[in-house]
Amino acid sequence: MATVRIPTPLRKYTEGKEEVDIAGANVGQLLDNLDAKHGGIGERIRDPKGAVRRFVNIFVGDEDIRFLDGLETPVKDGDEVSIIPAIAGGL
Amino acid sequence: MTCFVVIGAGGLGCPALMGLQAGGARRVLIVDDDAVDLSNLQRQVLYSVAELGASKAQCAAWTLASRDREVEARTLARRLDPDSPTLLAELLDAAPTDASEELVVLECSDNPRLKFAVHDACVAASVPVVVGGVVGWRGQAMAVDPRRPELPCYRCLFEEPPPRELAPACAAVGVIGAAAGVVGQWMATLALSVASSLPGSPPDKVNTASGGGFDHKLTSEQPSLSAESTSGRESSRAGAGMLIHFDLLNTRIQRLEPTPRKGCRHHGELC
Ligand SMILES: [Zn+2]
Repeated sequence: MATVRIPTPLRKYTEGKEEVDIAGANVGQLLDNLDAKHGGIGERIRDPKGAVRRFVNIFVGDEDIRFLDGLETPVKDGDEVSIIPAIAGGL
Repeated sequence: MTCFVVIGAGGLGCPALMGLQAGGARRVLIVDDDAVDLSNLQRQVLYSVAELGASKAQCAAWTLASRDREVEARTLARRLDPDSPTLLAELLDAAPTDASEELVVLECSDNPRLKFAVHDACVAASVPVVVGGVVGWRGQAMAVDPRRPELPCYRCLFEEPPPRELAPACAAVGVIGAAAGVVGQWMATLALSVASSLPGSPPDKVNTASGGGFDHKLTSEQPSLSAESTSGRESSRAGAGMLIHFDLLNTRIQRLEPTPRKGCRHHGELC
């Protein structure tokens, strides 16, 4: 199981939880399983073709998956996966 | 002398302006069309109860001037339109005119589309820009220096603004005032750092009165910026090209430091 850190705008899909434990051998599977457990969150992160949306970055530990193997990036037990959208508030 | 253009004088803009002033900025342009509101005062620290209803830009300029007689603070009380093709020209018109002037823009508004539009206009005109955002306990800040195309821009990281439902306004989800303070001050240090690397700002003179390109009055009690910017300036990014993501509730700080992205509208041809 990896720990997925959920950004504020998506916590309505995780009953307000900031972290959820999800299984998956790589980031793509992990996102599939995340969506299976928390219906609707998947389409916020990926577009209909399955690509990570253009205002989102995903990290495994401290590494941006774009500089690893993208959605194929392997995930180990205990890894921390962060979903980082562009933060655009400033009020 | 560098002119710092601060777009939005709210939760990010107020601490950014204080940080700029503390760091020796002498010329600023404050852009905001809003009025001081009681509900903002806890984090919009340049304003007081006595100023309720008055122009934020004007009050911010007064506060800066009341703390430092040498600061020249101009104001532009206008709501910028992200779709305007003359976005940057409008700012240039309002900025103090000086042929030798270098601009550094700080995007502190709460409008995602405006953030991207200001960034794009700055990159197109080769003007350094610092983009920041805050929501809840989280915040981000990134300095983009288009004079250094080998460094990534904001669009290299985030291709487009998040849609409305994914970019909740602070008004809707709230913001921790101190988080806005951290991000705003961080934006100011990034802007000062980028300004100290501008042509005509020899870093070895940055800590002498009026020696820097923006009349950078660092005193001996404030040596860190000059020490940092002096060492290895050639290879240093001067704070540009990396995005810092703060999660202050969990004290997590992540640094996104990519190479320019293929397909970025500003970097596509270079990759
Ligand atoms: Zn780019």
